[in-house]
Amino acid sequence: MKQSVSKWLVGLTIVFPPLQSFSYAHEPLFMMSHEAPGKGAFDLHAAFHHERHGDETEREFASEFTLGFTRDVALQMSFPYASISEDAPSGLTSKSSFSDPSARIKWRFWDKDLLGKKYAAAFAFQSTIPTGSETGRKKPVFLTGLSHGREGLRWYYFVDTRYRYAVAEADGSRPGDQIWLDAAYGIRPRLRKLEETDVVFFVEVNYLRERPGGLTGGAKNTNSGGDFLFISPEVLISPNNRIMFKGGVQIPIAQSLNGNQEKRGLAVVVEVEFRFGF
Amino acid sequence: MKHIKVICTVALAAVVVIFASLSTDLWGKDIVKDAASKKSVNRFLIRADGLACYFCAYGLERYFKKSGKIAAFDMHMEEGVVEATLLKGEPILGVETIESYIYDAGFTFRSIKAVLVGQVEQRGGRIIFRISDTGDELTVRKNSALEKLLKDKGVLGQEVQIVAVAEKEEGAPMALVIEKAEPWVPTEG
Repeated sequence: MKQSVSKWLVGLTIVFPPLQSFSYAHEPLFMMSHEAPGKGAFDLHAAFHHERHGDETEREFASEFTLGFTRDVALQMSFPYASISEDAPSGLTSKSSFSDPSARIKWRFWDKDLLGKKYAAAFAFQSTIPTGSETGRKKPVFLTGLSHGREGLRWYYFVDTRYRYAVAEADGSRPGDQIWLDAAYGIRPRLRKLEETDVVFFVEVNYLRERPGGLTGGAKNTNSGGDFLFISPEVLISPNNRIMFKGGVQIPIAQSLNGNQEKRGLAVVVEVEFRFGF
Repeated sequence: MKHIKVICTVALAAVVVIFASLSTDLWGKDIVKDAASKKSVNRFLIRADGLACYFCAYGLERYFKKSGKIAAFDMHMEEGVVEATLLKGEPILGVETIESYIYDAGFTFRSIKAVLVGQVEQRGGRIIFRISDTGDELTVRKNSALEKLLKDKGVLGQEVQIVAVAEKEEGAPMALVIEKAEPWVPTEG
């Protein structure tokens, strides 16, 4: 019985891979922000995400697209392939499959342009499209958020708040709701010329409050949820204005966990983004 | 089976990255092929606000490329200036078109300075600037600087390079407010 509960708990985390970051241009990697690519833009991203949570390791490769519908409205789609392995006492188990795609619509509802800088705010709504695959879910996960920030020639700041809600599976189980508060500061050490390599460094602070999830039958899972604080250093390198390489590590610095749980480990994101247009 | 899936995914990823790399002209700011032989001597210096990085402003370059009238593109970020060098022989872009490019790319248009080579001509009570390269004829708005140029330098009928503020004009790409005019001496190459 104990083994089956533990297997189920592992299953709960396995079928709930993280929502893709959809980082566009000079946006921090682990949060939501306000940038919009403009009307007619088409961006292609290839993103790799690695995360460790107790004995479980998840790796995800995602192809992402960003389409600029209007100056301020963008649609983003992500098609992930996930691989999840668990180093359990009974041995190493792993599974991999195409996971749930997700779609995000972002609306930059306010912006103010000044010489060499832009202030803006945006609203975003994101949903997964459940596939029921080995690493996916049978019900959707929704995420909504508000973000504000400043982009400049020398420095950036971003703040956001996000709320993630997962619809319960048919058996009543569901991961807990998540509320995120994020802030990031970015600096460009040297302003280069067009076609010269541009480098921007970011540091993010992410606070997560996760409510307890639900067990099969709908009972509260007291061994889930908690409060988490992360710090995430990142680097964004663009050799020219059509390609950007990004990398970041999310490091947990404080964790207050409900009940008996494994601590979260590092999360790593590596991404390449290409800009096109139509 | 699992290995095949992983290999297929990695192969797909590699194809996506290679395709994207090949489709992306990684180096060089000329936005047409053989730009050196196609660049006109005419250019626009477009002031826009909100330009904070080259990557974010790629949309602008894309619009200019799509217009088929621009040969080269550069940005002077600290001054908030986009420099667009026109294509030889192509009719010039209008102020309203440029303003819409800036807006759609996500920025705020401020002004345009046009650096053009042509002749200042007087027709009836009007002053016209005829661009040598394209034959476009633009109305010149009278101001004290123009009066002074006409009087002191006798620019009428000569080929000159002007620096002018471009303003909206109904039924024409733009009207010009000339700030400066110098006799034009073509340079080799």
